[in-house]
Amino acid sequence: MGLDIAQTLIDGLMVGGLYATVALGITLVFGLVGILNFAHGQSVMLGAYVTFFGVQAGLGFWLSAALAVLAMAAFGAILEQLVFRRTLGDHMAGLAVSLGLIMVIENLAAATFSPDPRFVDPPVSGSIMVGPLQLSSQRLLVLAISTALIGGFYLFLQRATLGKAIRAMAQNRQGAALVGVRVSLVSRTIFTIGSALAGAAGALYASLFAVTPYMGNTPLTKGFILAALGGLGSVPGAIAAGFLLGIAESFGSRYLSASFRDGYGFILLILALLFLPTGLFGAGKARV
Amino acid sequence: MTDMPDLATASVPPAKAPTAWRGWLGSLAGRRTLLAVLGIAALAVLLAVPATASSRYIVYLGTLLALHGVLAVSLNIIMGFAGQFALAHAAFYGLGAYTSAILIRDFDLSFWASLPPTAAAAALLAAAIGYPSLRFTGGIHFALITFAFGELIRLVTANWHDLTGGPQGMQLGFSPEPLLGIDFGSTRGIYALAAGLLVISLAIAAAIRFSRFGRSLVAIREDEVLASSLGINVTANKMAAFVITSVLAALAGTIYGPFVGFISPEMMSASDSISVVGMLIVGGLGTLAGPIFGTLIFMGLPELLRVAKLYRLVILGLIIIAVVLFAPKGVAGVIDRLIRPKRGGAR
Amino acid sequence: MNIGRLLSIIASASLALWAPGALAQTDTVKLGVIGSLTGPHSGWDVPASDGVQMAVSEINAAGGFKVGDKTYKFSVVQEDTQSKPDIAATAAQKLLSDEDIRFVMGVLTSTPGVPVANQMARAKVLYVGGFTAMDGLVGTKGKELLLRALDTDETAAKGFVPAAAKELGLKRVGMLLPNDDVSKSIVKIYEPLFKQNGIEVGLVELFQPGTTDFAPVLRKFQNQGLDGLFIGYSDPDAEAIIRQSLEIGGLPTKFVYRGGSSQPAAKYADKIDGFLWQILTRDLANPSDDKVKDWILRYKAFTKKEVTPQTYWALTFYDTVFMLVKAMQEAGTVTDPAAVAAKLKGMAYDGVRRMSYNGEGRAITDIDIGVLKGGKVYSIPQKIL
Repeated sequence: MGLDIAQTLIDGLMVGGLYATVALGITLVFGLVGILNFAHGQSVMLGAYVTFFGVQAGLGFWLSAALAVLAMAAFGAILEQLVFRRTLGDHMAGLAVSLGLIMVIENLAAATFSPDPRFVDPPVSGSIMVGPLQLSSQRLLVLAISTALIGGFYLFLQRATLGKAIRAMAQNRQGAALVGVRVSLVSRTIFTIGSALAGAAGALYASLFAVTPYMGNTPLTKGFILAALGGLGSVPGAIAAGFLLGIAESFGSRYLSASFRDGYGFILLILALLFLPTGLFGAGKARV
Repeated sequence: MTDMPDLATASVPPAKAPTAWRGWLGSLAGRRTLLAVLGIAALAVLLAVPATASSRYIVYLGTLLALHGVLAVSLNIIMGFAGQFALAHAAFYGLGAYTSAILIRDFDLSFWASLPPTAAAAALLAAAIGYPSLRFTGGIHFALITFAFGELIRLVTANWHDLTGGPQGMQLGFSPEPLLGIDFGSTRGIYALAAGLLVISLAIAAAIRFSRFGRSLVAIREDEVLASSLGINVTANKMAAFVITSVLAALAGTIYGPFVGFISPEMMSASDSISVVGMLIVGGLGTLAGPIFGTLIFMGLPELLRVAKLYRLVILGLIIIAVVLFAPKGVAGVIDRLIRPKRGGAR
Repeated sequence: MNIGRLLSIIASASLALWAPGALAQTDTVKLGVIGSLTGPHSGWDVPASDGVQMAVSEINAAGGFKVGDKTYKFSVVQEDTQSKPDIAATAAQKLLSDEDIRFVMGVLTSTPGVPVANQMARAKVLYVGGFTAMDGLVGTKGKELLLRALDTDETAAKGFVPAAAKELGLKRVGMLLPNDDVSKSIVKIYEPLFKQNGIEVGLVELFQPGTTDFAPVLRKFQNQGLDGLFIGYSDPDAEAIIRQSLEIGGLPTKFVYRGGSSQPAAKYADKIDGFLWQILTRDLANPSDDKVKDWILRYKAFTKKEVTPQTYWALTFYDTVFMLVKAMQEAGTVTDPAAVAAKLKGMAYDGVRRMSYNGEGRAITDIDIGVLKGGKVYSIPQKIL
């Protein structure tokens, strides 16, 4: 029993890391730049496809994953330039525009890649024993990568000049502009980073799960729940919420009903919104 | 939406609001008349063509458009007038369809008798969701709660096998009984019902828009703090708007049941809620004609783009993006701008 | 562009439109094709539609078909149900609004399928669909013109379960399926059959459709004394379940799969002790039959697509179009769907595969049972027909 609980906990942490990576991108873009990008999940999907085609072309998983990150960074920069720069801060417009983008990207992907599911060979396979626990190697690897991504990003926000500029902008846009932060450049950078994170998440998703043109919806839904749960714009909140959701889903599916899997997250979110309206750490903005 | 950090809200000239405040008669004289006339013309086409067409397809398409029209018009009350992002609209649509179907199946009610309890259930649920979430200012809190509740309702429906038939949905055998000598059970009868509900929804929306209640909602949309300092009960007004919005969606759902003859939890999915939001924004938020334009574009355009087959949803997506980027006030805004110069002096 | 050139284009275009009608010696039969060309259900319906189009193009290229003393060609009218029931109902009406359309095919998923089937039945049009919920409609009153092109689970399971008992030596299995209508009917049919064949069903779990992470639910199957897992009907689910159960360990390594391909297990052949699947059609992945090999070549040329596990739907509907022609010829009519339906019911047809419809309108076809054991793949033919 105790062993079972421990294993379920680790299962939860593993998917939680994936969720956190997606949520980080959403919370960054939404919380800091005020862009509501519902098409974020489609960046995850495209990243997964880049990885799939890279592996198929013989580039190997790691190179393909790097390619996915770069491609999605470029994609994000282009989207920001062409579309989202014009909807800055206007949530209604941002939502409508991302709705259009979802239609375009999803249907183009289905038409060109076909709706059939594709599988990517993971870089490592099988499982390893850690004490009495049997753990999936690839999942452990995904957990390690997502933790590294999240940690690296957190350091970047704290230490790098650009990271400090981002935090300054999150606190006060006008103030940041006054002290010489180039707001539009920083906005574009945030969008690019968010999209690159989505590309990374896509590569990780592809290493575990099937790749389809419609795979973007789940990460998106989860990502939004998490961004909200963590307090919009709060980076540590989104990370904690990601792991929390992964664990809640794992325990719910293991000990309650697996057919209600996504429901646990929604219940968690509703409870949190009712009782902790400013997010897990009280750091987020209830008002946007 | 009160303290949005950017220019988008500021670009709406605040001077416009008082024009609307003069009420129905006052605005009739303004340049809104033409927009209203165009909106009514679009509505008339929407209503008249299926009513007179001999093809059942046209009648079906008309019903589909009318039902989605009701969704757009009703969502506009909470979203366009009061500025609150409600993302549970498809869930209420489905809730209406399921509640009415279950009442008819288990309690032997007639279609008509199932309507009041269905409306009451939707109102109760909307109040239950709305009260805790609408106390906060700003739209995002409410948006997330409605989004989560919408998905939760869908998942509960898919898992409550005994009551709802689970994910395989329910096959419905009933059709509305004749009323006042009109046969509402036929394809055309169901169309008449849907069209009737659309007209009622529009009438309610118009009545709200030009009432004291509607003016309060607009004041809340523009600045919640200011509105509350003017003595407007912000939470109560927002809740009333949300309840009306949700009840209308549920009523549309009751017609969906006999129209399609089959309901399943898929009709409640969040992507459908979001697509109604898209209709509103493309059509023009907060205007009376906007939701109608939006419905025609979202539901009608794919029909016109048949030749493009696989790519028509791509084209629709591109059109949506273009409208939002180049016509931020939606199609209604574009028409408004086009007709403005012709009116010369009118402001 | 000058006016003269414009006029000449219009003139030639109108000539082109007018000419076939004037010159043609053959008449046209309109064939309705309906299905989700877009949205999440398109993975099933696009291949089905490809199959119909391919059959039609071959029939037309060969000069059409003779019924009585007249030669006919098909013209396809296609509608997209967009994976949504209300749009499906409207799309069905759009097809039906063309009164020349008396034969309609398509839709493999139940949500858009049910409204389509109901509309077709009401309009007294012959409709061949494939989705699971059709089992409840076919053969009922007022639905006489509906036929289902796929074997019912009852038919297929009769040979499949004994084979599972024999080939894999199972004693106690767990069933893991998505929480949807197809799974419900699968469990209802397979549970008693397993028992009849001496296999206990230890545990039935339904997961939320769209689940990608199976680790938590798979843990429920640990320590249950199971020696086999029944893993649903869809390739992505099955592959994910096999892979993840190997990763988390402590689970049976014999799998029974109700789907139509060995793909889910292919990569894990050396790690598992057995995998059984239903080849509801001919084996398309490793074709041995020349007819099938030839069909695959033509399919690739026509659709410019590779063969995937979903190609099965294309073959099913491809053969169905030829059966329809045969039924029209036997009935001697291209305008009376009831007469054609009556001929289709009870007809057997030796096409790329052997196919038949019983008196109620359910397809009964020969299937193969695929076995992957000890790294080797072989198949056991099941003569059902």
